[in-house]
Amino acid sequence: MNRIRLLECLCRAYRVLLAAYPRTFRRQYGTEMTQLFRDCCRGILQKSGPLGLPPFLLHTGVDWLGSLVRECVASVCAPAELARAHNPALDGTPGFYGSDRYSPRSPALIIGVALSLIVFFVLSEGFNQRIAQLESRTPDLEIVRSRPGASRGRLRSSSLVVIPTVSGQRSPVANGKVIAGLLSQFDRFDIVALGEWHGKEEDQAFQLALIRSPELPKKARNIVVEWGNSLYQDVLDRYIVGEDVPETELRKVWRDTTQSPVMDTGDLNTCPPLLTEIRSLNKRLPEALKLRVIAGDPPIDWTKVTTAQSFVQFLNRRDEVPADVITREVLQKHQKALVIYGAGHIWRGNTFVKTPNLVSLLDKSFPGRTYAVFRIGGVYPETQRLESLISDPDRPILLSLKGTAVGTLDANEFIGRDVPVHLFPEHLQLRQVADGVIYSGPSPDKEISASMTAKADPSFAEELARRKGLMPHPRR
Amino acid sequence: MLKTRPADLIPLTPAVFHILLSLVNEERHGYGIMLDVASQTNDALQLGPGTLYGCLKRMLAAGLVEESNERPDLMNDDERRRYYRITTLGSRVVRAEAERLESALAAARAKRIAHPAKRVMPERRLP
Repeated sequence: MNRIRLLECLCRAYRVLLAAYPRTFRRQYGTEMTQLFRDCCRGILQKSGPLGLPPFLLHTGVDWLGSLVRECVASVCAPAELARAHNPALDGTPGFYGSDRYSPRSPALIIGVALSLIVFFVLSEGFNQRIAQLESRTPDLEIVRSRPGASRGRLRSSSLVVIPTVSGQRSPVANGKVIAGLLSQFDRFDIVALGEWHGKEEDQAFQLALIRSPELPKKARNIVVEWGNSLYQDVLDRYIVGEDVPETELRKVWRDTTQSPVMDTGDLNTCPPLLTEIRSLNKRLPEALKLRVIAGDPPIDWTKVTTAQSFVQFLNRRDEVPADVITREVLQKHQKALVIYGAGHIWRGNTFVKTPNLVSLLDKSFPGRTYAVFRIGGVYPETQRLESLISDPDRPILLSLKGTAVGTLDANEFIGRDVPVHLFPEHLQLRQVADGVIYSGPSPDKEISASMTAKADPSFAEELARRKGLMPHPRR
Repeated sequence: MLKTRPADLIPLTPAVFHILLSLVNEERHGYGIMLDVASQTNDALQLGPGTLYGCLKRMLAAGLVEESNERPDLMNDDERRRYYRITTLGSRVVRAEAERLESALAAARAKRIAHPAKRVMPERRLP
């Protein structure tokens, strides 16, 4: 680039910067300022060459910012000040100048307040991010109490039900490491499928900590959940972005799933705390980073399901529907998603269920784009050996299963210990089941002590009993 | 309208003071003022375009300087340039400010904080 062209480019850029000044100032002095800028650049190019430009441009940038604030403030208050013909020195160099008179002049004060506010907002943004990072490392949940006077029948972020405090394992730093490790998988995969043990405090605490991570929205904006009926996706969308949604309407999202008869779906399990948290986060996130919760359960309309046969049609599609939803709402849109599903939908090579599960379906349609991970915690036949293979003392810890000794351990020795069957073929190794595992240590898992408010609702309890009567086979 | 007294306008900021100083003996355009201020202060005070024209705007409003229709710099003239000259009020204000600074300097010397002035003029730099 020759010097004339460089000069023109710089002048054009400076003219763009001038557009930020108040219109009267720009019209009065814009041309001269551009000319002055051009003269300066030309002088520097002649004297020092292009290498002399960066310090000058830096100085000009600082000058632009400072004078911009001053002119904007002056455009608001200058007429009265000038009428007093008292302030030839309003320029303020630096902004707070004017203290020679022992007390700052009012424009200098205004400039000071403006600059302080800017600095405050910049610093507080950083502070908020830091707090969010710290929160993400703490597995404990907050107690969000009902807001006094909140209108009944409508759920708002701060008037939602009490979230139980989890008193399980506390290892904030390790949790932060696990979260960071998990989120880093989005650099290589489009889907991170997180398998949970339903109703365990450890899983719920981890999911909430993960969602609170300020890095999550930058990595993946979609969260696909098992506990949401996809028939009510529009309700979910409206609630998540902050709209007021009637409580009775919102509860259908998790009360009316295919699992409602088999899991005695309550209102205080995983769903409301997670939704409340995401809705609250969305209020603080810019539009481009807002999280979306996608319901993955088949779109069953319980008002129309009256026979076991019609129920089974939906039950049999519990992996197919979320795979379709993820394909349509995430992958085809070139987006990424955190998928939170029961571990049975995540494990590869699970032969206990005859139809392919969610991750298997995704692997088939989109090979190599899903990272499957699940949590193990408690004592297993192979726990001692597992512990001996982990040098890091932190728990929980994210362990990679590909190409590691941990990955060669027998899957059946760790999974399905609570059920009287082997879920996997003999000698199937952990690395064949998933890509990673979150090991939370030998302490036993804790059940979430949920007060089932659903049971306190006689009409819903009656409806649940009807649904149970339609169940074709024992729970999966 | 009340008549403005120089005492009402001091102390001046360094930028305003040096701009007025640069206009004491001759009319100048913005670039000329900028170079002269840098020269007066041994590059310690380098005015950017925003600061310079912000000051000039306020100085014009306060009656310290005025625009000139003449084109003293015939060799380097440009229609886009505006020339500024100091007004009588501006001269009185800059004198009052110089006296204020002088008395402040005298006080500092009395306290042995500042050394007596050396009669060495800073080297002037050509544009």
